[in-house]
Amino acid sequence: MPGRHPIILTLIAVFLFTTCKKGEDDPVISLRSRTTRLTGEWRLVSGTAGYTTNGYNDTFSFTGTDFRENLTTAYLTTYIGKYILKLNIAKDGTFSFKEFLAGSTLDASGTWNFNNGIGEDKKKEDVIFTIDKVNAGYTNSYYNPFNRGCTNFVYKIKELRNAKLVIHSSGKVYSNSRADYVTLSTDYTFIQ
Amino acid sequence: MKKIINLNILLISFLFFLSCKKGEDDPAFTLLTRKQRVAGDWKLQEGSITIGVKDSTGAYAGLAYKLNEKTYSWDDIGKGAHFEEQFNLNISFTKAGAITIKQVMDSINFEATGTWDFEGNVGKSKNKESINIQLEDINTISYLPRLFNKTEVNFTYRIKELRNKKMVLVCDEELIVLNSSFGYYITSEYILVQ
Repeated sequence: MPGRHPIILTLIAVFLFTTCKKGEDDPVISLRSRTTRLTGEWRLVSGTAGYTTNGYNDTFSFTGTDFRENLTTAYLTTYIGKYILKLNIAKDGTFSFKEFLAGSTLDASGTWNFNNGIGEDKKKEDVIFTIDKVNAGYTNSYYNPFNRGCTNFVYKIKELRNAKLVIHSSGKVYSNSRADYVTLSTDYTFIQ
Repeated sequence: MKKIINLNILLISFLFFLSCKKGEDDPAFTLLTRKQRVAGDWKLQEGSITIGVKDSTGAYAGLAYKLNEKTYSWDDIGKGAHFEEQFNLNISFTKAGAITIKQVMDSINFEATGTWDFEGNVGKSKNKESINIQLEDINTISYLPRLFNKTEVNFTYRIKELRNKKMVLVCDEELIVLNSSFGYYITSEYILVQ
């Protein structure tokens, strides 16, 4: 009988750690809280962003230093240039980021929070950013896709490790006067 | 001894219920969870929106709207004129996290569906103090600052008061858009009832 206790304890521990997993590629076991893992200075290593609307598709692929843009309308046009994205998330609920793409800079700061788990999303699966200060640039610049043209934007955390963060966003961003919406999908991989 | 135990239980219960209070005007005592209280069909009773516009020179101008169940109004002080237009706002929250917004404003019939969630307690925020809304389907334009979505597809309101049949949503001089020629800041309050 005494020999069964360690097995039961191990099963409970495995169950607890498994239920802590939020993102699809999260580690199975982590001793650090999600807040602790999310906070820090993050540097982009790869990513993509894509704007889509009727007859229009503009996709960006990012390395840690450059971008490649493929704009498809009636024909394909390709641009390449410098790209930098740095994201600083603090434990006190503040954040700042700097994004530079093709001469367009957005340097902004604000507050962040986790979601609470109503509906399909698990608790702390999403991170919600709110910009309240802009040091340089404009919040609705097409060439700064990280904030999705908004001061309030949400990312789903696909993978959260001690020194690696993978986030994803998708959905409508803005419309013209005829209510034709542009959708934007972004994926970013950061390391510390 | 029994009296002391009962008193302790009462004190613990009182402290527990006090700690559940999130919004500044929340009830001190409630048996329904915050999710249960948010879920339901809400309609606007009254409200206000102030849109502050800061231009490239730094000059700041505000435009204030007053809302009620059927109309909204504003004063154009420069023209000495008072305007009043048709207005209606209905919002449905489900326990499963879905939201439907129907707003009539002037000639605009804004309808949108999406998802809602509470925000957590990172930093200065209290857990479930704010509500975050993400729109997915929108039937018309959404970029007017006086719409409930504040021009955005993702937006947040702080819950100032949450009762069984009354909810007050506020935002405090929130930066909405900043571009090369102007910045929009919105302060608003929506008093919703069931």
